[in-house]
Amino acid sequence: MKTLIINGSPNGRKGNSEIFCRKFINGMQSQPEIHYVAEEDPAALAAYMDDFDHWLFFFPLYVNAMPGILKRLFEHLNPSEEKKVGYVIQSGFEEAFQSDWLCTILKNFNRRMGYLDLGIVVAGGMAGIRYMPEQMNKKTFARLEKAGSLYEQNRVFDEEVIQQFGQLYRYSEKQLKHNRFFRKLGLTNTFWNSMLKKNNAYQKRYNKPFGT
Amino acid sequence: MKTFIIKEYNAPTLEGATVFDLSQTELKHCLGCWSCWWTTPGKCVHKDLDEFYREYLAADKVYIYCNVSQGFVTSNMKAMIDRMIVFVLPYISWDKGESCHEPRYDKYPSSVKVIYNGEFIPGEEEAFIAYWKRTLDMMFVKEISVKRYEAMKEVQQ
Repeated sequence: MKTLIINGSPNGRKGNSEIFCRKFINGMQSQPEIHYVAEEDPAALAAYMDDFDHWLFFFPLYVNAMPGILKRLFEHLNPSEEKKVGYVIQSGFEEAFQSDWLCTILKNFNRRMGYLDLGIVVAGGMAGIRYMPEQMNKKTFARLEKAGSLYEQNRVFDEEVIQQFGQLYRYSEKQLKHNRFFRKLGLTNTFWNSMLKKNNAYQKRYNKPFGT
Repeated sequence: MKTFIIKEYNAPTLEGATVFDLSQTELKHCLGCWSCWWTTPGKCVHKDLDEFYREYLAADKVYIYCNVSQGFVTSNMKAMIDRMIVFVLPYISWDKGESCHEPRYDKYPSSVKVIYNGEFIPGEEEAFIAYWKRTLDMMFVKEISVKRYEAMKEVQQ
């Protein structure tokens, strides 16, 4: 088994996907290489990938699907019955169902290309992990290390790990009421507002530069 | 009634409509920098879509003539879609029973028709249609139609 990790984030080494890749690898004895769609020519990267038989893609959910820059790499890949492919998606939205459209697209893509499906991990509520103290991400990071360790043992994503990450599939009515209540108090916008203030852009947060 | 046409292939244009020809433009991809949310709200660091943003928001009706690539949209079309996040605020509401970004603008096109051209393997076409419907709904479009180019021609006849 020769595994290659592809960081499919436009943010490259600075994004949450990088943190995900690193924590996943922490759980492994072997240390697979990471390659970056944000830094590399897609045709050259696709050619390089051909030497590996297990591809693990780590990337954020972008408007219900993979980022365009990752789709560009997909367009350079060839069909093969020897490739085994897994996906680790992280989204800002908490609910795992928000990635359902993408999961269907990826499963169809595997089928079209003849790739064997190693599983899809969907981790919601991850928008701010790179800004949070390590302690607040402890549970997520432990799960990722476990995911890496189990992947190395079983050569496929562990079903239990997939389920743990996707636990919050949809909000219950009670959770929705709770969220709406805290939104009214302005408490659900604190992360965004703090970043807007940090960038002296808070007063401009509702700007409409291109329309009405 | 203002009409805006986005096209990746040769398609009929309507008189008076503004056309954005994606087949002649390779868009810059979203950098994931979030500048459009927290540094220059509503504005992307790239400038190659500024005119597109203006025309899209001014339009009442939008036609998107898009190609199919590996059963999904092309990477160029996906770059455009990714960069439409300037149309929403980072703030989340739960009024629709799920997490949704709040609108930045008061007015969005009321109708968007996607007319696609290309081949699918079984299962892809349904996913393609569902993707567009979901995405345009999140962009506050009220009337959404996603149809094959051939089927569309029949409708027009």
